[in-house]
Amino acid sequence: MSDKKYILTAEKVSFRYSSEKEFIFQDIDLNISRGSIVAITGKSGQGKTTLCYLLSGIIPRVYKGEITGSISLYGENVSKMKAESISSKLGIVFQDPETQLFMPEVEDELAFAPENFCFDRDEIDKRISGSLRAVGIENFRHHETATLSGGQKQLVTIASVLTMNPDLLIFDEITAQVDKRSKQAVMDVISSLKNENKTVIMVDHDITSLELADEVYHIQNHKLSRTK
Amino acid sequence: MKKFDPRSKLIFVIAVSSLGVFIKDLYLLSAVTILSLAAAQMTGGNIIRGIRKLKTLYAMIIVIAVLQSIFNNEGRVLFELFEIPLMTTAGLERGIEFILRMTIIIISATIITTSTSREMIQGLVQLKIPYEIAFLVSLGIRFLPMLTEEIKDSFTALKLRGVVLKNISLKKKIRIITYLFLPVIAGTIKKAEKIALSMETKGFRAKKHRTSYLILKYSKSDYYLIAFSMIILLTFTYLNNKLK
Repeated sequence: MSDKKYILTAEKVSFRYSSEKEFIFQDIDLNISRGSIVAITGKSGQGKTTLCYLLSGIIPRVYKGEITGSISLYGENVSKMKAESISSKLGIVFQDPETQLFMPEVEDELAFAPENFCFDRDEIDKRISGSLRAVGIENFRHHETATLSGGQKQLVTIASVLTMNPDLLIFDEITAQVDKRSKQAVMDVISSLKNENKTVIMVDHDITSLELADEVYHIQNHKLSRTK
Repeated sequence: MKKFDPRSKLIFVIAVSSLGVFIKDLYLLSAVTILSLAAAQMTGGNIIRGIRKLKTLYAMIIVIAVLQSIFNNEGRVLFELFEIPLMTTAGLERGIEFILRMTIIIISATIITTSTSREMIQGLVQLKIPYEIAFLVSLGIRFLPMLTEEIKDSFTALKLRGVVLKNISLKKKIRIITYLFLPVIAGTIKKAEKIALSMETKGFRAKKHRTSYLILKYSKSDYYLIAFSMIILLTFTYLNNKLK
């Protein structure tokens, strides 16, 4: 199904890793509408991160396994899309900021993705400024990433993904390693992204951070069920 | 402090370290050591940190001096035991030579650290080194402390379990370290995998070429530094050959 209303759809998706006998998911359906905030919850080990990998095409591109059903991004089969064409439509932020920051300075970090996509200097500059503004960390532009707190680092990773200007963002437990104040800052960013008509999928085990969500899903016993 | 282009710093460091490796004369080596210390000071290199790193090597002077004195029958005997020369002037010279060479290499490396890894990558790219190689080298350096931390954590975990490495035999120590090796390597591979994943989601190698937000340009002082590097390389090589 490739309804224009939906930015991302998963239809009857089942998956198991090559090394495992049991399926992590069975017959999952998911439709993500443009501009919505969707929360997916579930206990540890239920496959939240695996679902993020599936939706973003990391499975089967990087991690192999048996998949049935289909996942479409803008009507295109994600598993057949090239990494670079996914990156400009879908951005993903992982739990640990330490493994997502490669450059010494915030500005260099934010320039990394647009440089990979061959944008010129003026465009890169515009994208860096825009992303820093969107996340509210304009004053960190020339800071060293190593000196930032965990929460600030996570904001930088969000900003670095925003430089690719994707319509859909997947946040995989991005507040798991930050304090209460930083968590609120991240939530404020997610709220402002909604105002910019971005679509956000936030995956979290913590139910208290889900007030922002338009739709809430819960993963349990290999199934995904809607709770809101 | 004048900020030099990383490329000119790299050329200087290569010139000075090469001299540190092949010069044989003690006086010339001392002159190159002074030169590298002055250059490190001038470019804002952390000399104190470099010297601290050398501290553990100081004991090697004695070891090398004694070994050279015993096995190399050159020079005047300064100290002997049961007619075995334990310290000769030649042995002492070799020991001092060793520490001077190490000082030159480590101190000149501190000059490189005055540039950020991003500047170094760009410097290498503008020297026509493929971006992938330059980036992976800098990534390796950037994540080296992560590996050290992982090893430290494993040793701390061991201590918390009541194992005092100092008090156990060498055989047992080796066995315990082998046990630690596996989780450290597994943890590092996992981290590397996550880094690679994150790089890919940000479009690393998405296109054949990539643009750069940072463009390095040589200034007048960079040309002076490159010329100076060439002059000292040629002069010291000439003097070294003449004093042979």
